[in-house]
Amino acid sequence: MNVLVFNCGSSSLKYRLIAMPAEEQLSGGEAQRIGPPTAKPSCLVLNRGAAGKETRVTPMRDHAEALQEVVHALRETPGATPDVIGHRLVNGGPTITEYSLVDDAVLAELIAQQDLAPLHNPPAIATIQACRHVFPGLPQVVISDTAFHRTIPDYARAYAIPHALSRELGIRKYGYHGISHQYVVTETARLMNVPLDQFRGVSCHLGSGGASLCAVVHGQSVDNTMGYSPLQGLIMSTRCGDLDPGVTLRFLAEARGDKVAVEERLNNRSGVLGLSGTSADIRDVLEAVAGDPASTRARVTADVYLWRLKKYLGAYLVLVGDAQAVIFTDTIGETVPEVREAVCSGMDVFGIAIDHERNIGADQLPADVATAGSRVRVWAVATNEEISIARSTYKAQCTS
Amino acid sequence: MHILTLQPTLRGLAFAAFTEGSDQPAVESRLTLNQFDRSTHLFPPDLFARMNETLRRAELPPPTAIGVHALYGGDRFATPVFASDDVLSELETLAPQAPLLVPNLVELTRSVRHTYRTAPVVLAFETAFFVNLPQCEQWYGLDLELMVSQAIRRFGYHGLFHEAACRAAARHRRLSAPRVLSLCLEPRPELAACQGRRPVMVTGGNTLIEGLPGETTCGDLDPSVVLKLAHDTHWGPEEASRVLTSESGLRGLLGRAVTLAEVLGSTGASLQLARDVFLHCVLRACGAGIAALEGVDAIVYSGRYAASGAAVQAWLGPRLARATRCDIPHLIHARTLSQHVRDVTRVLVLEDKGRTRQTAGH
Repeated sequence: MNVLVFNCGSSSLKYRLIAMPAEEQLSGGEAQRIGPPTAKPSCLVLNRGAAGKETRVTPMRDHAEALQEVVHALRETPGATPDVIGHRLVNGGPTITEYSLVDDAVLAELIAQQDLAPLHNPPAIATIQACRHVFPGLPQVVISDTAFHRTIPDYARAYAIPHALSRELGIRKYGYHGISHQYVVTETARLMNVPLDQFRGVSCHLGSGGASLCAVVHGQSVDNTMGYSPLQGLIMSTRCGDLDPGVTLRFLAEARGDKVAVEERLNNRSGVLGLSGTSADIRDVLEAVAGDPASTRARVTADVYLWRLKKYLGAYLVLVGDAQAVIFTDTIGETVPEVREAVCSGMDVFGIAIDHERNIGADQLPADVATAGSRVRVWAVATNEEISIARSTYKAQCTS
Repeated sequence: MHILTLQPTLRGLAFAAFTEGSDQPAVESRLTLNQFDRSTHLFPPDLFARMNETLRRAELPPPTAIGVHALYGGDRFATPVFASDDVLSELETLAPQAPLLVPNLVELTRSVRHTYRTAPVVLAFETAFFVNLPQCEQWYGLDLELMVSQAIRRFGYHGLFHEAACRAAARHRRLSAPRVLSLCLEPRPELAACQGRRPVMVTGGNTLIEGLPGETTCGDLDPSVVLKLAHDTHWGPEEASRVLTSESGLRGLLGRAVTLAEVLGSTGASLQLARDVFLHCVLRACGAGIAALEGVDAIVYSGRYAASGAAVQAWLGPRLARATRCDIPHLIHARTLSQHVRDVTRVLVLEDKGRTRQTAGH
C-alpha cells in the first residue's frame, strides 16, 4: 500500500510517498516559500535519492497550487501512485484523539477548530480540500500532533482557572510535537530492547523553530511542555515560552487590548531572537559565545535557553521516575552536541552521565551518547515524522 | 526591645506585638478597613488609634522598633532597611513596577513614622532574597532590552520564609551551604531552590500570579490562554487580572473558596482534582529545583500551612526517591510571617546599635 504523506507548514508543504508496511520511500520533496512573494522565489525541492536534490523554481500562491506541483512531480516517477493520503495536523482539537478518516463531518469539525493552531491548521485543511479534487475517491486520514498527548492525565492537563471558563472556552493543555515524540520514543524503545509499554523516559524535540519536552511512562505521553497553544514551555526561536500571566496582561494593557499585537510580539519577536537581539537560531548564538566569550548578550541568551531546558528535564525526570532514557531529536537535538552536553551535565543525581567524546562524535544517528556507567541512557535519534504519519495512516486504513 | 510588626493586606492591616525576649507575639490581630475608608485614605489615622487601643488593653509598652512587611523592593533593595525619607522617596520610584503594592506600602510606612515618631521603622522586603537570582533564572524569553528597561524579571515573593528555611536546613543537616528545596505553604505557595542562602530557582515570577497555583491565584498559564480569556470574554486586562488573581487557583478548580490546608489534608474525592493539580505542579517544581541545584540535601516546609507539609511529603517523598534513588531528609519549619518580620527588624536594629556604639567608642 502506497501512503502519500503531507506535512504542512505555514509556508511549506513536505511530501513523501512511502510503500507500507516496508516503509520504503518512493518519492519525496518539499514545496518552499508558498504564499506571498519573499526575498527568494517559491520552489519545489525534489529528493532524487542517490541522484541528489533537484530544485524547480515555480510560483505557488497557496497550498492548492503547491499540491498541483507535487502531483506533477509524482507523475514523473513510475509506480508512484498513492493508495491513501495521510495528513499531519498540528492540533486536532478534542475530537481527533488518534487518527480520523476524513469525511464531510470530520472536515467540518476541523474547519470549526482551525483557530487552535492558526498558523498550521488552515493550510493543512486547504491541502485536504485540494486533495479531494486532485485525488477523488482516495481515502484521506488526518493524524494529529496532539493525539499522542491524549494520555496526559486530567490533573496535568488542567489550568487552575475557573472551571466553568475552561469548559466553556475549551481551555486545556493539548501538547504538541506528538508525531515526532511518538516516533523517537518507539525507535528508542526498540534500540534498547525495551517493550514500548514498559518504556519510561523524556523526549526532547528541539527544533530550530519550535521545541518541546515530553514525559513518557509506559510508552505514553504524561506531560508536554507546550500547552493550550505551542507558545508555552521552552524558549524557542521566536516564541517566548513560559511567561508570567501578569506580564502578558501588562503587554495587553499597553497595546490597549490589541490581542493580535501581543500575540505577534510573543510568537514572532521573542525567544532566542528577543533575548539575543540578532538571531532567532540558537546555533548562531552558541557560535557567537564560542567566538567571543565576552559577548554578554549572547552568553545571557544561551544561558537562559539552556537553563530552562535543564529545569524542564529535571521536572520531567521526577514525573517519569526511574527513567530509562533521555532522547534528543530534531535539528538542534540531533546536530548540536553542545546543547545535549550542557543540559545533561550535573544531572548525576538523576543517574545521567553523558560521554563527552561519544557526544561530540555522534555524526551517525541513532547514537547512545551516555557513559557506559550511566543508569539513564542518553540518545540522539533522528526524527521522522513522515514515517510516523505513514504508520498511523496504514494502521487506520487496515482497520477501517 | 519591644517590636511591633505590621503587614498591609488587601483589606486592611495585620499586626503583632512582641515583648522583649519573647519569640511569641503578646498580641496578634487584624484590622479591616471598610470601603469608605479605602476610598478616602489608604490607611486612615483612626486605624492606628484602633491598633493602639488593642495594645493598651493588653497592657503592652509602646514599641521600641517597628517592622513593616514589604512585598516588593525591586532590584534596589537587597536587604532590609530603615525607612528614612530618602528610602521612601526611592521606594516611591518603584511604583510603576508594582502599582498595586508599592504605593500602599509607602503610604503605610509614612503613616507609621508619623504616628510612632521615636521608634525606628524597618522595611522587611520579600523580594530582597531574590535580588541576586542568577541571570539565567531572572529573565524570560523576551526582548532583553525591554526587560531591563521595564524591570520585567523574575522575583520570588516569600523571601523571608525561604531565608529562614535555609538557615533551619543548615542547622538540621549540619552543612554550611546545603542544597535546599524550600516549599512555602502560604495561600500563594512558592518553591525556591537554594544553595546555602542563595536562591538559584524560584516558582514565583514578576508578579504575584505566576508559579504554583494558589488558593485564588492561577499560577503558571499559557500566555495564549491569558490572551484568549481577555479576548473571548471581552474583559479588559484589569478584569482578567482580577479573575486570575482572585477567582482562580484551587477556588477556580473547585468552584468554591477553600484553603490549601483543607485541600492537602483531605482524601475526599471532591477535592481530588485540586489536590492532584497542586501536587503535580509541586513535583515538577521540585524536579526543576533539583536540576538547578544539581542535587538536593533537604526539603523544608514553611508558611502558615507548614503542618500540611507532612501530607505533601508523604506523597512527594517516594516519587523524588524513585527519580533520585535517595531519601531526601525533610523538616517542617513552622514560624509565622510576623515572627520573621520581628527577627529581621531585631537583627537590623541591634546591628545599628552595635555600629553606633563602635562609632562612639572611636
